Amino acid sequence: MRVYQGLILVILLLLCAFFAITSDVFLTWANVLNIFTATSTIGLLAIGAAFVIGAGGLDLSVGSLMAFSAITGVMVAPESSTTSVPLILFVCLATGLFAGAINGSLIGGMKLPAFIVTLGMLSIARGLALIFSNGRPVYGLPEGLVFLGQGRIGGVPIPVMVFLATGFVAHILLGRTRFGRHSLAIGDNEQASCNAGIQIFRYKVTLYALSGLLAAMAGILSMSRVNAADPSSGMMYELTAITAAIIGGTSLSGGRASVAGAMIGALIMGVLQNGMTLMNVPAYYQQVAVGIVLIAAVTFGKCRGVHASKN
Amino acid sequence: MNKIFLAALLFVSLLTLATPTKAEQGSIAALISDTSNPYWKTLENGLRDTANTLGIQIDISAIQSASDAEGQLNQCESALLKNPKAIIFAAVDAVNLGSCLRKAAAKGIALIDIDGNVDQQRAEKMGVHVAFSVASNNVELGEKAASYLNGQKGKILVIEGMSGSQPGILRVKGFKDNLDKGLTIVASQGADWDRLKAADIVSRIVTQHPDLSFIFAANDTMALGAVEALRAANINTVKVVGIDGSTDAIKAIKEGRLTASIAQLPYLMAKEALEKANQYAKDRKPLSFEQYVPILTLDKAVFEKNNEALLQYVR
Repeated sequence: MRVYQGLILVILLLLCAFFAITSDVFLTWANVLNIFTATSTIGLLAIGAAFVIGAGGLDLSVGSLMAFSAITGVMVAPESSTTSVPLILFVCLATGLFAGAINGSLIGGMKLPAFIVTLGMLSIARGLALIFSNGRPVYGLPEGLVFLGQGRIGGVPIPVMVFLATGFVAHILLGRTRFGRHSLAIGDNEQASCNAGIQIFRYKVTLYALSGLLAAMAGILSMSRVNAADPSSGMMYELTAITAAIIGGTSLSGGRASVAGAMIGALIMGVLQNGMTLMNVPAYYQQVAVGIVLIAAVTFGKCRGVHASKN
Repeated sequence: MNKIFLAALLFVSLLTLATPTKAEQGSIAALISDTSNPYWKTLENGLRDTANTLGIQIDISAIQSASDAEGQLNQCESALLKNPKAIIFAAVDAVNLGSCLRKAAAKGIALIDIDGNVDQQRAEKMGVHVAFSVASNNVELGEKAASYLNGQKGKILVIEGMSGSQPGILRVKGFKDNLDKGLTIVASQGADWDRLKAADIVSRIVTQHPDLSFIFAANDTMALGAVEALRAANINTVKVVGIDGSTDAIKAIKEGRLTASIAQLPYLMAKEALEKANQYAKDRKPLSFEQYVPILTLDKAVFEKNNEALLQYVR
């Protein structure tokens, strides 16, 4: 696992070196901050994906939950009152957490396949976001909220701090706590974990709620960056997030996951996108490149036993 | 693991400090929408060809889905680093580029809207001065559609776009305001720019009004949906007019399935936007905000005569 992560880190650095040679603005402080800022949304979702997939699950609803929680938050808040920002934040986060918990209860309690439950939630949350907002983006958010997306503290954009701080906490949670160990144990062998006395239901509710919460955080960052809550935002983000987590060494069949890996995976995608934009590579080619990196990473991983299929 | 991660961060930041900032002077950046849509692909081609003709460097960024407001903001931030003399942008919505354009404005970069997606007053309020906007006049697109039908008599079905969409509202307004008395609108319904929804509306209305003579749809996708519904209902007496001049629509017109389309000319739009942006970046001579691009009524006769100068911009 460690070898694999060293490897993808090397891939990330090689990509950086390549783009640094081809573009003289790539390795400027401003651009590095750009990359981290641009990665923060997908990065948060990828962290969630590492937890859920590592525990043998899957969450396809996070892109929709981003939009749904953001829209719900701004719709309930009274227009530009002083309390509106904390209220919006609270409602956003609560919405994501709650929707995720519903996913988790259905998957853990009713023993339904995660793919199907979260696919359903993908559709439900998107639909509700469109219904609540009447299909129209809500423009002009309160100043305090916009500051979260556009503001800087000590020269560092707030989304970057949120991304790195969340990553730090999540890395400890997954790698150093009983919660993390048990989650991965469930992903490795659910029956054995159950026999060992791990309360599967409680863990699944918590894991999907966590994924929903991270999606809501991503939704808050996304809307505050563009100063609009858009019901159609975050489409297909779930796939990008899953891609990032897998590049980062999370095994799609569960049992193995790494938060730091997922963050590196998200950064690889961010660097690719940023670098190719700077190089003026047409958008079509960028999609091809992302696909190649995903498949290449999993191929390397399989050789190192990270992405090995369970027997 | 943590150590490797930290070391990597340190490595990147060191490199960062070691690299001096250099900027490419004199290029123009263009932020456009989703190029899997032929309209934007044509516009992209127009930008590239014009840049070649003018001998200037252009950096075009396209987003991967038409609603990816955040992705476009990221591209705008990247574009800014190259210090372009002008940014031509087709914003996903009225405000998503706000923070980036404010920085651009502060750097003295000329800002030019393409395709008319910017709200000038809102932009000014955000501290963003947009020099001018190069776009089709949506009211005129509707008016031309009405002119095409004027002089005839009969019942019309109007298919509107997405509710709340400004271009859709203006096109329908232009159409209705310019329509002759002899033509009666029997229904005006929204189909969200969607082919299938338009087809459903048409199927419903032709049962209700078997004597329907005309259909006006606020874009070609819906017009083509209407054409399919008419064919399914075995009706060939209804004339259908759309807007946009899309590749599909042109094919349908040549084959006699669609009656007419009022074409926007994205290639010409790109050409004019880039030429004007280049000029403005040089001399800063103010232009009036609305820079309308010519539009063209396309029907079978126009293609058969083939003597319309603007046809060269139809792709």
